[in-house]
Amino acid sequence: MSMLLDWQQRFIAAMRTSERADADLGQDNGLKVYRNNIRHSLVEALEIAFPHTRALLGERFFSALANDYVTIDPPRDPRLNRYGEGLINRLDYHPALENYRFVADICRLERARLDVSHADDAISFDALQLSQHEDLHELYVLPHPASRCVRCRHDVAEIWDVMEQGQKATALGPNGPGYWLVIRRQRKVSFHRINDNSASLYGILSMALPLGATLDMLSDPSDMGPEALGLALGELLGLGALAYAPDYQTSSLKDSGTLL
Amino acid sequence: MLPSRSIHSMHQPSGPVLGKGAIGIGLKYQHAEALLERALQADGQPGSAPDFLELHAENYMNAGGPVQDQLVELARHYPLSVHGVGLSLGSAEGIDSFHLERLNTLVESLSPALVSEHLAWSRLKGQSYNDLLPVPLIQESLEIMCANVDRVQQRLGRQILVENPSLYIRLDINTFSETDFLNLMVERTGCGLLFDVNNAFISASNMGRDLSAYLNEIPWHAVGEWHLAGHSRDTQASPALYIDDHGSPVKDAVWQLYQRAIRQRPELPTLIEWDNNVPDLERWMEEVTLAHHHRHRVFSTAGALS
Repeated sequence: MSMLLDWQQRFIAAMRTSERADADLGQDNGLKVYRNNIRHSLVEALEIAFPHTRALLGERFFSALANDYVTIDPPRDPRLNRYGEGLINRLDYHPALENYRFVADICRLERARLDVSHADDAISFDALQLSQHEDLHELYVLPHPASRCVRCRHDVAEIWDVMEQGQKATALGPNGPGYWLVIRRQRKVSFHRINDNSASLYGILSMALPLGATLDMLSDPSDMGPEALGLALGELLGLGALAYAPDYQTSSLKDSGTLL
Repeated sequence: MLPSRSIHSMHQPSGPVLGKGAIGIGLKYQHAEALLERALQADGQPGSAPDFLELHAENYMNAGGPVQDQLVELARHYPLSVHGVGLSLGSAEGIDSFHLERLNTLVESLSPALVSEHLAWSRLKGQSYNDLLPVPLIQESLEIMCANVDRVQQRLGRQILVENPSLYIRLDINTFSETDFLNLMVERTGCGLLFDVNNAFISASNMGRDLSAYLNEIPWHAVGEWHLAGHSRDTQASPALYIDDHGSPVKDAVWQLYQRAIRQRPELPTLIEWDNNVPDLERWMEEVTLAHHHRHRVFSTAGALS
């Protein structure tokens, strides 16, 4: 192994523990500065990304969770606005949050907001364009690059709405799991509860199949059926959640999200 | 490895050129609207807007969105400096090809006046540690830094500036002094240097380095930009350490060092960093005015800027 690689591996190991490091890594007081810098910057990135999650968990719990998370799962991308996806999973399974699993849903919505905020733009595909297209088997329509479909396991609609207005969170709603469409149009990100069929259609369209084949498949009575499919397509078109595939940049395809 | 003359003949930025002694500030989201307004109102009035803006590359490597749109708009009104913090030039395992492509895309889209990175590393086994970690100054590091700087310059088709580090540890395994390392890197790759005055002060203080000797050995011909920033002092550490936190105004000792350094290259642009406890734009512009005063104090009699 190269001398530098060995040194850098031992240096990172020393960043993960406060135990005395090998002498060739430097002095303890200086190593502590680097250790604190790494931890502080990553925790701060999570605080900025997930303000509602932080408010729900409380300062102390969020801080402990974030400090634990940044040690175990440092970013793989130097772009810090991409960091924190794995925090959702920890909220889903953290033993102390057994009665607060809905916080993971709020975290999902916050993650989706960040993702669509930095996604590429595209012109939404609308009903008029659809009606004017001669051959749907040659038409490729994809989810809009600045949109995400999020499945929440709890009815967090009211909690989300009041937190967005800067008020204190209320109780969970009476409904069960459900899908949300998060979409950015121009500068504004909006959140919409959508029905299950719309979410299914969104997911299938992300596979970049010809629209005609997709509609043929889903309109079969053994699947969605024509009426439900029409409603789902109408809901997605109405929200501007679809984009004509040739308008899609290749880079956007790589960055586009599917179901969170 | 690319000889330095090849870099000099490479395509250079077609974006706005920085004026002599330009003073810029860091670009923060919260100031973007006000900076646009000032640019439209400035109409050539000195002191109402910074001369240029420096952005952290990693904050703007997005496919689109309002932040990106705002940056494009700002680029129409201000010369830009793209300052990378995540390329990890000193990483033993090399630099991330995808990240280099993202940087190239950003630089191509903005045609900035300056592009810079650090004598530092932050990446190991595909994980990114989001700090500017110290590079041991040994032969292998020199080879790796030079190879990585060369690769970046080749991909971007232009020279980059590499910033001197702020250090908190003294490494006994070093076989080069920092200035020897920088000189060799400049000679081999044709890169420029970003001389961070605050970092030079901090490293000298923390390492017990002879600052005058350090200044005497800097390859000033290669320096392309000055950085200034605030620092703090951690008195809990034993011994106490100066911390490069960019969270306060520039300290007097750093202004004094700035006055010494700029005599070497009066025409270079100066960037005032402020990344934590970010002040309002008015307060930041006061630091810009102060920088002009310090420059005036140095050059008013010598006429060095004329």
